[in-house]
Amino acid sequence: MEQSNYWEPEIETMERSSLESLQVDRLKKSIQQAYKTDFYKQRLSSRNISAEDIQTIDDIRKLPFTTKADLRDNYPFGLVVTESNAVRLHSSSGTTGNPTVIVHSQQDLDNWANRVARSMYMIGVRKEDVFQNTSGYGMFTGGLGFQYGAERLGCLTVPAAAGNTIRQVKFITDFGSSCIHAIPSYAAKLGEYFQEQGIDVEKQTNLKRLIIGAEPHTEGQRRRIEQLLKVKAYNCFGMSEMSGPGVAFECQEQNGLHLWEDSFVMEIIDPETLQPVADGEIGELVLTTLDRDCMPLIRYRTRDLTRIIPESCPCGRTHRRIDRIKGRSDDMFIVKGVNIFPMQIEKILMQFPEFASNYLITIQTIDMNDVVKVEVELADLFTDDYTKLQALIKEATHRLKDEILLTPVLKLVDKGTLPQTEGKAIRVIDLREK
Amino acid sequence: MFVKQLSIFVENKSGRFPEILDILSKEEVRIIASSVADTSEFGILRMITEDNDRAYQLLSTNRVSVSQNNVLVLSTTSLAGSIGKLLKPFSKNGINIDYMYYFAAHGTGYMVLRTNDEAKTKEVVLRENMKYLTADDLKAL
Repeated sequence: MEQSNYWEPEIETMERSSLESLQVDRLKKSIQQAYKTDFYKQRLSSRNISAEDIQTIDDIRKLPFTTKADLRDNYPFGLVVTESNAVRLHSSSGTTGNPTVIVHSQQDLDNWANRVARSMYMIGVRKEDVFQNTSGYGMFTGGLGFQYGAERLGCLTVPAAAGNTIRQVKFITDFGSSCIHAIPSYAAKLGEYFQEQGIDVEKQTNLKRLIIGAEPHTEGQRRRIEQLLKVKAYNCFGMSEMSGPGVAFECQEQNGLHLWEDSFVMEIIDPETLQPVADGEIGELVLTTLDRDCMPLIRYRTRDLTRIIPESCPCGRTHRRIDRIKGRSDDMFIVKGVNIFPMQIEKILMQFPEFASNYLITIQTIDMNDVVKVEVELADLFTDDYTKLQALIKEATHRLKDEILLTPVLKLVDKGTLPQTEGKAIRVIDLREK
Repeated sequence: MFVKQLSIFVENKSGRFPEILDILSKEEVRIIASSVADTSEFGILRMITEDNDRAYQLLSTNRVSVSQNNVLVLSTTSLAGSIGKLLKPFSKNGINIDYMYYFAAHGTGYMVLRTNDEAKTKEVVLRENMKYLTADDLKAL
């Protein structure tokens, strides 16, 4: 019998009208659940809003937003439904102020694992696969999130955790890992390591596909990773506030990420006016949980910038797609009145095969002037003619200027010398006096 | 006829030069000839070693941007006056010299040349019966 392309065909290909009425039903339940917390009880009742106010999915706009600041201000358990039986806690690093804490019941963990399994199945992972997870474990949800998802799918799962490239490669070759999850900067590093060591991925490993996520990255970065590792790399999206990975995931079309609308209501808003943008326009992603028992979140402002891809997908799934994350509304930096996103700079740098994939943007004040310095690692030296290197710097500077509207100082540095973190790569350092 | 040369990107920061040379000296890779071209932002160190493949591997795994390319090594009898003579056949045949550098060993001078046209260069060297050095010749120096 032919295997289905879907993990849960009846949900993944549900008619839009049925999906929307499912959302309305679940949204009502989520509001009732939220009322069991002190935070939402106060916030919703003061506005006289209850589950009865929701007739259609657009009625969600009657509800107030929830922000990261709300999570911090009510640290640690202000948004937790006390009657639910919490079994797991995840928390952000909390580099500024209180960390954000998300608490899960067993039901929450089961739903989450199922979403991850569904997502992995979508890109072709089957129980015969060996899945190696290079995420940090512990509090970082990319670790346990993928662990339980892959186990749910039935894969032999290798919790390699982050770092130690030599050991990762040994696992890949010894255990025959066929699917790897890595943040994009680490996937590129693995690929570059294979190349340096002269390891033929096609002959010496069983690698078939990669899952990359947790860091915004460009299409160019993805294609480079695919070239280095000679397999397809699928983009995944998630965040700890929405449990973790498995919120949205690319299908085999590699053209946008299906956001699981049986678990979340998505909206795209203008971060300034807070009004919905037109379908297909870029704005801030706002998510409401539909099946979270322990810690429902209503209209949570993710700060991630993306757009809805309104067209239907050839894969047959009816859950709408979001475009790859364009950056975070709080990653944006302003220099001389110009809004700049690190993704814009990455997009240009990735156009040059002469550069490796790691870069660092530093903004500093020199003689009362704000200067954007972009350091990029050189791949293997392509020429021994320094005039060609100078011409390369000039051309890249020119294209960067066209993109960000001011002229950066571009500096080539040796490969592997920019700071690389085990977690998310550091892309921007702002040294200006605040 | 051509021998391999390593070209190494050197970031303009203090200590980088000895750092790169240490990678090779620790593994006892002997450098036969070298030169540096520099700009205000970076330098390019060119060198021929007794085992370029090994040197390339060592540098590449130690975070150095490096490439290998072909150069021609010619011996010159006495330096003064002979270089012009040596180069004349190239210019006569429309071959440009991208760069060259000189080194000496055991009282003999050698010129390392990079031209813009390998095929034409080969023709000229054979026709003029120039004394060129192979990789093995260099190792024996």
